[in-house]
This record gives sequence, structure tokens and C-alpha cells, in this order.
Amino acid sequence: MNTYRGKVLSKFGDNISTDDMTSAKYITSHEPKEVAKICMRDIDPEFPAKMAPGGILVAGKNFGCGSSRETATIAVKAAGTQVVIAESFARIFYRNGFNIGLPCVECPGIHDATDVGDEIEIQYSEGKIINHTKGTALEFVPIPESLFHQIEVGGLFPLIREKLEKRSKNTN
Amino acid sequence: MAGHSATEKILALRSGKKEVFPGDVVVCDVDGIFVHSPWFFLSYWKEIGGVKRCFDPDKLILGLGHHVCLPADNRYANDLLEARKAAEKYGFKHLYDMGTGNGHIIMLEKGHVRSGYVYVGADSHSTIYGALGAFGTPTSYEVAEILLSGKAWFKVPSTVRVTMEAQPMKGVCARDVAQYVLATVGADGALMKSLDFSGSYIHSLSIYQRMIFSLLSVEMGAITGFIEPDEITRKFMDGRVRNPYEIVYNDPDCVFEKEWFVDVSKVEPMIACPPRPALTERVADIEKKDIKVHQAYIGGCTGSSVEDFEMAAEILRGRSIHPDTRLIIVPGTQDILKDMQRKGLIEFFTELGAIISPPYCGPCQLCCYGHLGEEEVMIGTHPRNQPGRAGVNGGIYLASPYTVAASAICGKITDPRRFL
Repeated sequence: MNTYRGKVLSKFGDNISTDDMTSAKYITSHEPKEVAKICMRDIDPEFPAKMAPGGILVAGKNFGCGSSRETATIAVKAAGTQVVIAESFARIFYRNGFNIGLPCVECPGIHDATDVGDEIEIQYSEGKIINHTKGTALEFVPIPESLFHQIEVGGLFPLIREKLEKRSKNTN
Repeated sequence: MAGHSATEKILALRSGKKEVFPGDVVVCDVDGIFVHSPWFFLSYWKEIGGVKRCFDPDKLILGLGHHVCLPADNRYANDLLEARKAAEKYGFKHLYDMGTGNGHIIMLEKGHVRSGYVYVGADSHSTIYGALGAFGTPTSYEVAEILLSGKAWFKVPSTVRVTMEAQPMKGVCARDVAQYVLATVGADGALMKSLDFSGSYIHSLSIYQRMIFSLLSVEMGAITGFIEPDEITRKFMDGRVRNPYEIVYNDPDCVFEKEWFVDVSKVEPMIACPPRPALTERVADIEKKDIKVHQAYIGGCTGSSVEDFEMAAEILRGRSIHPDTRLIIVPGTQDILKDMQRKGLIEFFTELGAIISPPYCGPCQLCCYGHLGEEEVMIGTHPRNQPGRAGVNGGIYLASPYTVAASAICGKITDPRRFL
């Protein structure tokens, strides 16, 4: 997964909370498909329609602050988001992202330098973001390659399952 | 070389290292795990497959009564049923069911947290465990894995400090000071840092009032909210914790990445306005806006101790609730409820016409009851006011029990100092 190229389909400002992502008001089920439908409803009702598989979400500072609710990251990912690039992340969302296989890239300067519709290339191990639409580039602290496999298999639990299966094969 | 912060020292101790530095990644032994919604980790266990047991059933604390004192619908009732069955199947010992109250406070009251150890909780407010000089931090999905390994990884945070000196003026309490600190540090001012509270003021407070600071640390982006233990901490833990604790202090020559100083005597009654807890104003300024209050609420993770209800009673004694306002009283835990009963507070609030709820975390999330109508306003002592909370997109203000009580009397947001 070293390089990913895709389109920015949604952009948000600072301090987007997990309540914004999945308001308890609208949650009727914890199923990914269902929470994706209500994702960001109060701050951008069009979000589930705008986001599509492979889309990139760009945000400002402190993305994912507030409650630790599991549904928030699930909803963002299930809506189709491939990667979130933000000025900074709240810690729980950041960890949860990698745990469910949704990479979170902390890239100072991304918010003002990017618009919806831009074609972006992310070089994870180099820590580079190239905006092909605007012909600009930004840098970020690279994502450890040890996390790539976890993201590819879909997160922490599929990774553990895979490890356990390998272990039992080896002992048999 | 400069000394280490208490957070660095605890993370070193629990990862079996001599010393650790900010930026190091450590794998720590976890001494306690708080979970209020076990259906999440149970579904992840299914996803992993073949899970037979948790690493130590004594380390898992299930706070089923945290969000809910009585199930509001069948979905929740069924989730709870599944949780109880799982507790039996896996031998989870510490199950606090309906009516026991707010799980975070239970963690401290029932001796599940001790100084110098590492605690995680599948709830953002798990920074609260720092109030006893522990390292407490939220982890959500990972709880499913930590329950199997007994270990959690952390990137050692750098430490920032808030030092508070002097005593507050009449009508100002810990919640106001904490709200002032939140405004000073900002919503992301301690992002990914360990936040250390020090100074004569914090050490003059009871553990229940210290919890407010540690809990609100997450609203400043912090990984934990640490308070150095003292005599008050020891007294609180003695007789509650079953295993020995280990007091850990900041090294005297420890250098903090950033420091804020607060003269508590200058802090006025403060209030958090929608849409986020850090958006802080002086109550005196908001009072001028004549904001009508429909629901006044005393309870929640940051305002449901006996002391909080005593402060409210101090204002309400000899006065009455405004006819257009309802006052809701939610004791934090069963122990707090019993103490309120002994002190005559339940009788007092009943006579006043308040609505008294069984203990739980209160009408903040939408898990139980107490929702607002579309244009209604609530002022409460709880920690959160983001859009969607209590079922509305605005209209939630957060303040001290003094201010909530004064607002209940006047039917609008009111500076409590006129009543003291």
C-alpha cells in the first residue's frame, strides 16, 4: 500500500467530533452500512452521497475529538473513505483508524492547500503528498511500514485472526 | 540530564524498563480495563475467532449501569442480556449492573484503580483515573485485544503542566476552575500529551473534585490527566484498593514541555457554550443574554458527587425552582446516593420538586432518558455539549452546580454569586 492515488471527495474544518460523525440521535444499528448512512448528517447531510469507495477525506485540526465511540471510525470508513488526511487528529480516532484499517495521515498544511475534487497521491513510506491537480506537494511523518499489513487486511482483528491461524497451522 | 515526569516513570515501571523518553513506544502491563458496552469487544472476539478467555477476569470491570439505569428500548435490553451471558461464560467477576451508576466513579470508589499503575477504558473519559496518580487513558477497539494479552502499547507522551495556586472566590468551585483551565489550554492544547495538574489548589480538593480535572483532560486532547498523589489520595485508596499501590511523583528536575499558571482567586463562574466543551465564557457575560433554561441537570461524570449536590443545595435552600424549569438530580453512584440519603439531600431535593433519577451517567448521551425538545435549553454539570447530545443540535451549556442551581431558580442562565 505504499502509494495511493485518489480524489478528495470531502473536506471539513477544525474540531470535528465523533458526535458529528455519528450522532447518537441517528444511530439505530451498529452495522457499518447503517452508520455510514448517518455519517456527518448534521454538519454535511450530503456526506454519504459525496463520499465514494476510494475517496479521500481532508480535515483541519483535532479531527475526531470527543467521545471514543467505535461507530465514528466505522462510519467514516464504511462511507467509502480510503484515507483521512488532517492537520492533526484526536488520539482515540487516530488509534481507532489504524485499528480498523483506515489510515490517518497527519499532514500540517493540508487543509488550506487542498480542495474537493483535487487528485492526490500519497506516498506513505516517503511521507509525501503530491497534489496533481494543483501541482503542489506536502510532507508528513511517514507511516511505519509495520502498519501497512494491518491496514491491508482490514485492521487489528483480521490481523490477529491471521496470526492465530498461522500459528495453529505451524503447530499442526 | 533532566528528570522524568511521573507519566514517563509509570510507563517505564509497567513496561519493565529502567527509563523511557517521550516518543518511545512501550508495551505496558495493564492493571484494569473499564468497559461499559461489552457488545463491541464481544463482536470483535467473534471476528478474531476461537477466543476462550480473557487474560485475567479480575482486571475487567464491566459498568453496564454506566450509560443506562433502566434500558430505554429492547435493543439496549438485549445488548445487556448478551453482556450478562458473556460475563457468566467467560467468568468476568466485576459486573456493575443497572442502578450501580457511573462506571468511572465506580472504578475509583470500588478500589479498581491504584496509584502508579496503567488503566485503560473503552470510553474517552478514561483519563479520569489520573486523579489517583495512575496512568489512565482511553482505548476503544483495542480493548478486545488488551483483554487477551493484558498489555497495551503507547507512544510515551511528553508532559505539559497546569499549576493552580490560591483559593477561589465565593460561588466558584472546581468545575469553574477546570472550565477556566480548559479555555486556557484549548480544545487541542494538550493534544497527545500527558497533562499534569499541580499547585496548592488541586491538592486542597477532594478526590471527587480532582476527578473533574482528570476527566476533562480529554477535552484538551490529552492522553491522560495526572495528579500527584498526596495524603488525600492515600486516605481515599486505603480500605478501597486490594493490592498495594505505588506512589509515583514527577522528578524534581523534570522539565515540562509547556506550563500554564492559573491564579485561582481570579477565576469567576465559567460556562461552556455550545457546540463544544472548550468554548468557555464567564457566566456573568452569558447571563446578559437572557437564555431561558428548560432543564437544569446536576449529575454526570463531572458533577454527581455528594459535594456537588451540597453546593447546589447551598444555593437552593429557602428558594424554589422556576415554574418553567425542571431540575434533574442524578447521583453518580449507589454509594453517593446512600450518602445523599444519610445527609438529607434526597429529602431536600424531593421537597423542592426536583426529578430524582437512579444513579447512572445522566442525560448526556442518548442511551437512557432525559432528552430535550428541539428548541429547549439544558444547563448541566456534565462534561459534553457537542451537537446531537441529549438529542439536540445546540442549547447545551455546562457549568458548576452553583450556576446550575442559580439558573434553576431564575429559569435562565444566572451567575450564582448573587445567592451566596
